[in-house]
Amino acid sequence: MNFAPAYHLRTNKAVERLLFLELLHRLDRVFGELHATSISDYTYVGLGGPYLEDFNLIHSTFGNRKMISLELQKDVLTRQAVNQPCSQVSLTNLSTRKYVDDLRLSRTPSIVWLDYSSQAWIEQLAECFDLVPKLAPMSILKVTLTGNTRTLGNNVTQRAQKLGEMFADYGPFQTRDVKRERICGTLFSIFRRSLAEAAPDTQWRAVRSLVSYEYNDGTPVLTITMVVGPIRTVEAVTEAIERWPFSSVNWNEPRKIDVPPLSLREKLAVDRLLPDAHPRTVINRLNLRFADTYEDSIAAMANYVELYRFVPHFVRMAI
Amino acid sequence: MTTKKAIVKKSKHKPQEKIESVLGKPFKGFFVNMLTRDIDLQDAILDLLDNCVDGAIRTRTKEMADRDSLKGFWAKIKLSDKKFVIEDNCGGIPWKLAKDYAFRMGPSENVHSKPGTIGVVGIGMKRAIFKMGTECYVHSNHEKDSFIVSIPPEWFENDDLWEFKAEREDPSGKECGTIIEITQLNNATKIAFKDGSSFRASFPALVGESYSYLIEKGFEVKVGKDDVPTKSVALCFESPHALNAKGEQIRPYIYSATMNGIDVFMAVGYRSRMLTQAEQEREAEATFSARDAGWTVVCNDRVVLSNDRTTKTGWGFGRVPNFHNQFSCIAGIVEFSSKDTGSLPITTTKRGIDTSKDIYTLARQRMQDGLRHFTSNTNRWKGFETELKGRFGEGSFLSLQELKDISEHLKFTKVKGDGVQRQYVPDLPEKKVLKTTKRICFTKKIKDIEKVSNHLFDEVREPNDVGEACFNRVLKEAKQ
Repeated sequence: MNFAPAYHLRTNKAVERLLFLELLHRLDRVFGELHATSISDYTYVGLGGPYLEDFNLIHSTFGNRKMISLELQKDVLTRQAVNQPCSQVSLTNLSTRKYVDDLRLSRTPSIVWLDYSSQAWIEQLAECFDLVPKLAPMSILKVTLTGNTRTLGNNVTQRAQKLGEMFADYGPFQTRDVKRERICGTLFSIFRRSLAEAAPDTQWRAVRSLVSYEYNDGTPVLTITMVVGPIRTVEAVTEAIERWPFSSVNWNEPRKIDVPPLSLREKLAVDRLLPDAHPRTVINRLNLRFADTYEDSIAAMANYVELYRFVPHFVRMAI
Repeated sequence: MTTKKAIVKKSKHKPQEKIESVLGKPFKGFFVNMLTRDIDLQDAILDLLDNCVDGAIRTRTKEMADRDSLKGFWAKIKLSDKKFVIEDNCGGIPWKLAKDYAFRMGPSENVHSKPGTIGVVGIGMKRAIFKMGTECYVHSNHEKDSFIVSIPPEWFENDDLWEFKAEREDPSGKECGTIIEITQLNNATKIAFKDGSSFRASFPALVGESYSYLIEKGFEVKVGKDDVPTKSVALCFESPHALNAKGEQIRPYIYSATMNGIDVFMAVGYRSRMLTQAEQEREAEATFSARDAGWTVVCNDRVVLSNDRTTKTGWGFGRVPNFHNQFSCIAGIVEFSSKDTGSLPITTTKRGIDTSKDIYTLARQRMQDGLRHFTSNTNRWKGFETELKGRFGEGSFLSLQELKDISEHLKFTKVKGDGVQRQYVPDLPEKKVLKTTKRICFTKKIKDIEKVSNHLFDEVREPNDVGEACFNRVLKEAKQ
């Protein structure tokens, strides 16, 4: 058995999910102005896992009626049947590869979140690039890659060499490129360059990043959200989203999400000082430390101060 | 009679016009369109970079020319949807060259380019400018004079205007060089140059690929703020410090020739270890590492063809098989150098080869000989690829320059034919296949393979490992 940690144990992932929801809110407005369409009309496709958390959030926020869950494990499917947020979720026993292969060009735009948990990067990138030409104009593609480099070898030299063998077209890679703190940036660069070659811009279809984040809840994770569509419209969307402070449009480097885990008491105390207080002020006033050094503690608090609106707090609840 | 009268009557009403000549000059729009339609945007920019290199070759000292160095020379490219700028410190354009030749369309028989440069037809700069936009300023800061040449949008609209305005101007910087600014970009160029475009993502690597050998010689190229990533062919060479060591060695096949003023240097060999059967099958599904395989053709240091695996470079005809994953470990490089650029097998876009040139036909025969040496070797190791893995791990991978240096000390044999031709044929390791062994191959459901793998190893391993472990286990039982 292989149980992935639940969402409430992955604070940074939870923050990223809420940021995604806010992005969809903004896109809803932009799409409304450009095309008179709404996110609620989109088909949502995802790998929801046993809890279908993302399906739940999207349905409760936008009320999407067409939702497709891709799940290979039969035991997880049985749990999804219990956890599905509404009757509209189609629980399929399909792999992402099968879904992409069988997908026919549709007129209905989709939000597709390929939330990969393994490190089969070659196959995953190939899947994404096969999917792009099949998506309806103004679809949203979100790809999450995990940067566990242990699968590449026992040490950084071996890992850099293995990555170079896998992606020789975009190498060579140095040992620093495969370190935990750098691997997401390396994957981002590989993704961008390979996508540019697999799906070069045309008047009718271009792909631009809207937001990219990297975080680490035990494993480095990179997540990129893109818009796919005619180049003029895609550019109009990126221009609108660029104004959002948490965006990183046009393939700008991924932003880091690294919020310190706070107890409920700490969170309430810090939140009372925000949004006006400087991270240094928060650290000094509450005499908090999250790292060995004072400066590192301020850096950690800075990330919290930036993202505090999106940081959830999970509490034990007896039903 | 009536007919004659009618003609005379008609001619009386016609205004009298001198019939002397008819117009034969091109319409500007047609001319510009014809000139630019067959060149890609990226190749047009590379043409401008070639001019920078030609400037550096013109300007460098004799001492640098003797060392074939371009150290200290640079070119910087800035792309945006508002403006294209390329700037260099390669000496600028001499006023006489600008006045008589550089801005004219086509090569002049009276102007001879400096030996070893890469400009071929004298059209690169104009074609690149026309490809990108309709307003351009060329600033030249040469040691003897500084001037600006303007190409305004009106030039494109007026069929009679064939001159560009030039004025003397103060040098913009301390170093001698050229700045080309194109300000009124056309729509396609604007889209390509905009932030986030696929062009912006792939262009630096393309420059790096085409300029790897010039960059190795010290030339610097930046796109935006970043140096372009370089990529050059490196081939496995065992025991480079014991060149005359006897026995089988993983080394490249090397050929060199001098014919009709053209020097040819060629090397083909293993760029990586051989892939196992399972890896080859995986590569057939999706791969991001195929571009290193195949042939790279270099003319006067400029890469004109990269990692080609078609009949153009000898794959898939004659005695050479079609390229497939078994051969993804094989790469080759062939370099043509000549003082007379026109004699090189290079197309006008400098992104392809002119296969009709005799020198290329001859070289391709040798390229095929080299290829055959390695394709046959991989055939003999089929199924036993891992046995050689360690040797690749310990071998050195040598660049073109290192191979050229080392070839001075290798024992070459003469090749009969035109000019001076010689070759080094490596004695590659051979798999001694015993008749007592046979390869087993069968297909099972993936789920079942994973189940057996988990049962045997407590993890999912390669099907090959699973099959072999099963066999060994049963063999052990059978022996007991």
